[in-house]
Amino acid sequence: MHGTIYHENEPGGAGMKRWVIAALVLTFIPSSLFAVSAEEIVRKLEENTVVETSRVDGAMIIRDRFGTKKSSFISYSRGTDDMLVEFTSVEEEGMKILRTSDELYLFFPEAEETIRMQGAALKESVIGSDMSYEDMTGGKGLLSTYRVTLEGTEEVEGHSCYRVSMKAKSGNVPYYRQTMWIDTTLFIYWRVHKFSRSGKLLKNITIKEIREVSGRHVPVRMVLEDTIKGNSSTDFIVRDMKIDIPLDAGLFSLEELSW
Amino acid sequence: MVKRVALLFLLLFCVSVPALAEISSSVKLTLMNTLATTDDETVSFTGFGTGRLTFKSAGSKKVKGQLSLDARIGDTALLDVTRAFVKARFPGFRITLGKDTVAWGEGVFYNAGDVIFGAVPKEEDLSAEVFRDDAVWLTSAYVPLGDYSFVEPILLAPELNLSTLARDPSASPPSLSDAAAGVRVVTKLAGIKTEAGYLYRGEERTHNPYFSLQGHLLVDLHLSGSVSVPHYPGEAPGAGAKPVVSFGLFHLQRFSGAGSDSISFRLEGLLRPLGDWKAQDSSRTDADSDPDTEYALMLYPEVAWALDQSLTLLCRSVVSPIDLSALVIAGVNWNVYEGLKLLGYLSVQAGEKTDLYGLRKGGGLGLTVGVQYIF
Repeated sequence: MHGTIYHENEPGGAGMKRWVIAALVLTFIPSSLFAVSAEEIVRKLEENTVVETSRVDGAMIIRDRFGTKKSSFISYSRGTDDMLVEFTSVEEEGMKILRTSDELYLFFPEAEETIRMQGAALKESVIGSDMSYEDMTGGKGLLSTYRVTLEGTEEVEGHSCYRVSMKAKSGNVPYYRQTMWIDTTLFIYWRVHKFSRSGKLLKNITIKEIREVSGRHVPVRMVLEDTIKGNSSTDFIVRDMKIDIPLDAGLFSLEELSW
Repeated sequence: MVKRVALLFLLLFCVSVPALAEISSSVKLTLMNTLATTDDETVSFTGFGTGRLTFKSAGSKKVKGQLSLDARIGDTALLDVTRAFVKARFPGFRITLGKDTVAWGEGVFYNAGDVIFGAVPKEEDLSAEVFRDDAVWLTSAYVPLGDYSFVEPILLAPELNLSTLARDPSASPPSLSDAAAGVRVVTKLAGIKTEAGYLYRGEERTHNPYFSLQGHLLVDLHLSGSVSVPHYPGEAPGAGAKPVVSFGLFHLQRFSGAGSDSISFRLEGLLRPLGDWKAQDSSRTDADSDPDTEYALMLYPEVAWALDQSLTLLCRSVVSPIDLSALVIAGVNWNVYEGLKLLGYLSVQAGEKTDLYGLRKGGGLGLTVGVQYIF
């Protein structure tokens, strides 16, 4: 197969050459993008977003038709499964949430009461935000719970993203289907849509700001909308984050929860 | 002189700044206006409030302390210390000493597993944020057995009436034999949160073993049972074993629609197999009726409709199926701003005067509006 060769000094050659290069680039880029499999993209996403341990000092700004409310918290995490959140704002001070691989517990300090969340109670909103307790479950890896498909590339708020569709392998997940827009170079998601089994959009997550922490790009401002409510949103703001720090072995236990 | 005063201020400042940094404080004010019918069928109007001032230690991962002062403010004011405790952590266990609450068993309203404070809340205030807020002087230990299991031995001192002792210093203090002591074990068995325990109540001379289970089968479920067995069965006539069982069902349904969020249903029940299965005779006069009637079956249904993040309509009731009477409240709870809630409740008692609840009883009909502010 022979192609036409244009030299720069030939009349009209430079313009033609540019067109050919552009055409080659256009055909080459998508094929190179799709050379990456959906599994690989999600694996890179998890490598990038799942940390050994972390400590986050954050805030939630809950907006609804009546105004805004702010709550603050400190959370600790270990791997994909373990998380302990302690609220520090006056209204909820001392309330804690413990998530482990298969359990979710709440602790209310006033009543010294530990409540195991399961079933219908998981659908309750976390301190009136757009996040439900159910959203805090499912720490298991995405690839172990969802079948993933690469649907193409799209721009999300100026960032080139892979659009990856995820379908649950079993019914034992809060959201049957998800679509994630994952940055083609940073491998972090900029947007997530979570759907019910019937295909109804339930949650919309948009990342507004990322920051480099210990060599990783992490979201530091995220907006979560519960689309069923339709008139509210919750901003999650990371004020300070420490990654891969030593944590006590017993941090993710009932003892720590009720302390 | 000026120098000395300045030095004193400097010293006080240096001492108080680090001390304040180790304390977190909060105030919770609940202020209500209530219109209610009275026993003599007139209408009363009362302004009533509670305030809780809490100081908590902060900064130490090994020691915690809390002091909470409650003020009940009406025509007169009552002050009470509702929490005063220190907790300390040691390798392998932790201890709590002082006045604190403990939550044994399962149940929001009825809890047969609560052998410390009782299966029924002390105050039947259906507008309360939490139904069980009692505290007791205790010494307890918490020994973790794993991530989801622990053992908690507890020793409860008998109530010390300080005002009596202040009036009469020669009055004898409570006896050791009036103390209560027990232990509970909490674990997870086959996916079910399982709790079992025992408490000896010295004041009543009773043994109180109990169990509680919490799980999920179509709806969230809990079941608790306890029995109060007299140490000396022949000591008082009719003093036999008193079993109590409580159960609860909970379901939350989310649904879509303009401005709507979720609706939750809760049903709890209390069964006293040896309680009264027959309603009091309605032809009895007030004087004849027994105010301490313990009916064998009581129910607590609750429906809460969250219209929004901050606005909830709720309906709660205590139903006595045996005499067919009930206390019902319908209310609204609006979390307007950060820390601020507007509250409104309408309460109605349905039943005859000899029933547990009755329209013609004190508080048969009531309307309460108020605010709660935490800062």
